Amino acid sequence: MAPNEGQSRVPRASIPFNPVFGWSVGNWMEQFFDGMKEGKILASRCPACGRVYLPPRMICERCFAKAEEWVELPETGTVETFTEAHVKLAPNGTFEDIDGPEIIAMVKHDGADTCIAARLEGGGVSVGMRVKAVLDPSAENVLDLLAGYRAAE
Amino acid sequence: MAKSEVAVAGVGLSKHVSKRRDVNIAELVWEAVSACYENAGLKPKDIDAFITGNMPAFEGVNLPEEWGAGHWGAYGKPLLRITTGGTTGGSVAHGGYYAVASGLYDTVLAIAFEKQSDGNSTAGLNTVAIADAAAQFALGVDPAFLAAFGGGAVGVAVYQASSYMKSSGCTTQHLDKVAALCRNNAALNPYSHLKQPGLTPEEVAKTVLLQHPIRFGHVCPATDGACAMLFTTGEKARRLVDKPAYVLSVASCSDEAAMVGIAGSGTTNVDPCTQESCKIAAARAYELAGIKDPRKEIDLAEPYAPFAHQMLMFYERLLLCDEGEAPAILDSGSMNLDGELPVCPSGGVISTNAIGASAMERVAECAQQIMGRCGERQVKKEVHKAVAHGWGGAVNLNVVAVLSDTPRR
Repeated sequence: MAPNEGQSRVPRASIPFNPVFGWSVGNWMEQFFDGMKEGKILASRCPACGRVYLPPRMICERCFAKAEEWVELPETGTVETFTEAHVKLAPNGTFEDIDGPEIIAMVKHDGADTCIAARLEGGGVSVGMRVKAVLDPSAENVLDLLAGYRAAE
Repeated sequence: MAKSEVAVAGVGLSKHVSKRRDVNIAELVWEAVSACYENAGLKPKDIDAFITGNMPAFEGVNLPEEWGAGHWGAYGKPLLRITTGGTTGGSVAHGGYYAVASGLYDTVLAIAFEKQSDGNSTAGLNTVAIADAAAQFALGVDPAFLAAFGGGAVGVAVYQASSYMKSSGCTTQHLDKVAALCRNNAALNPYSHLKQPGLTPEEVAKTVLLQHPIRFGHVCPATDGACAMLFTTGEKARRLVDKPAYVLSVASCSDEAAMVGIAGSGTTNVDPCTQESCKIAAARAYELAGIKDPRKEIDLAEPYAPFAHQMLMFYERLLLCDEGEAPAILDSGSMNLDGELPVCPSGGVISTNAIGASAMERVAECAQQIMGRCGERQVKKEVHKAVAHGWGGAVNLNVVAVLSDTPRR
């Protein structure tokens, strides 16, 4: 038998596999989303070291203290780093062009010590650029409450 | 094996219920971890290394330890994940033991958990079974049937139950009795999931027959929960707590792989109730612990028994009696909280099954019974030596740990 010849004889079968996951976002992120519904950007602050987490998290990794102080942050922040996506993956596994580059920015809100990743509307992005959050408090899906960012006036 | 003394100086458990939608994985596990720190009187700065584990694929989060590390105090510390299926928690506890016994670390936090409500445990089980599925195709087995087969956790137990009942004389009444015993114990355990105080075997017998011979009342629930244990040197443990629980030995044994072998319940082509690997692991563990006659020297057992027959079957395979004797020993009352050799005082896996945590919770219960910290479910007799067991892998791995109130001489 020639090399790989046997492969054509191997029967193939598909096993149905359709797992459904439903991750809990957690207590702290729920409070974040509740804030967003009222147009507020809520971050959690470590009472021990003062580090401000946005998105909020329950435990300050550095202190192991419960970051249970809530602070409302302004809508403004700074782009720390970014990328521009030019293609997307098509269902058949090949790349497909998208309409114009889509900008994904890591934004550090004024008063926060951590970054939030989101889409940046409009072009002309640069590191250090001042941006403003675009909130959509009426969004049905909580994950869409923060629609993205755009350049601050 | 290293001669160094290893002891458990703290145990922490989260609340165990079917659905913790209010917290995410990192936050849920934090509950057990922070309880363990408090229990041992330590802080993250006192921990040298972290070992964690849960079932892969069940929650669909495959690096949960990287997500949770900071929530558990592991920032800036060595971190390792161990995952061996249903035995995961036991293997994580063994990892804690190895890390201290080797002399590499003095103080290790071992963490095991499962948040089944986030995921799809049936899909997770399928990912365990699929690797061995190809061989079945040659036999003409329909893949759709296989998926259903791998998905039904009961499927891994029913064939084993039938063969065990045939070989031991265990009756369905014994299965009812085991369930009632465990669920009554669970009612006294604040960290158990299914609490059914006053449950009678007759009531268990009225639950729906799922797959012969297993009724709904003979099966574990699906639980969200976490367990953390502090392993440290004997010397440090004595400084931390009045009465540490010493780990005398650990042993594990992998049998023939059995993903979808005969009934997927033990081994590929031998009787799934024989559990030779459990007997081998138990014998090794007793030998390493210096135990000559486990029947006389073991005071308490926490076998891993998500299904009722397994409490009796593993009692036998842990060499605590002759094969076929366990049903009569159950009838004698010896396995009760006030019995001669209490079994599953925690309420067992049949009452609480946060899968990745379950095999660790067996070790944790033995430790806490030795430490005298079990409150209402504290067994009547004094516990000098206890055996903790886990069953998992591809339903072919058995893990055993022997704990004691005195260090190994």
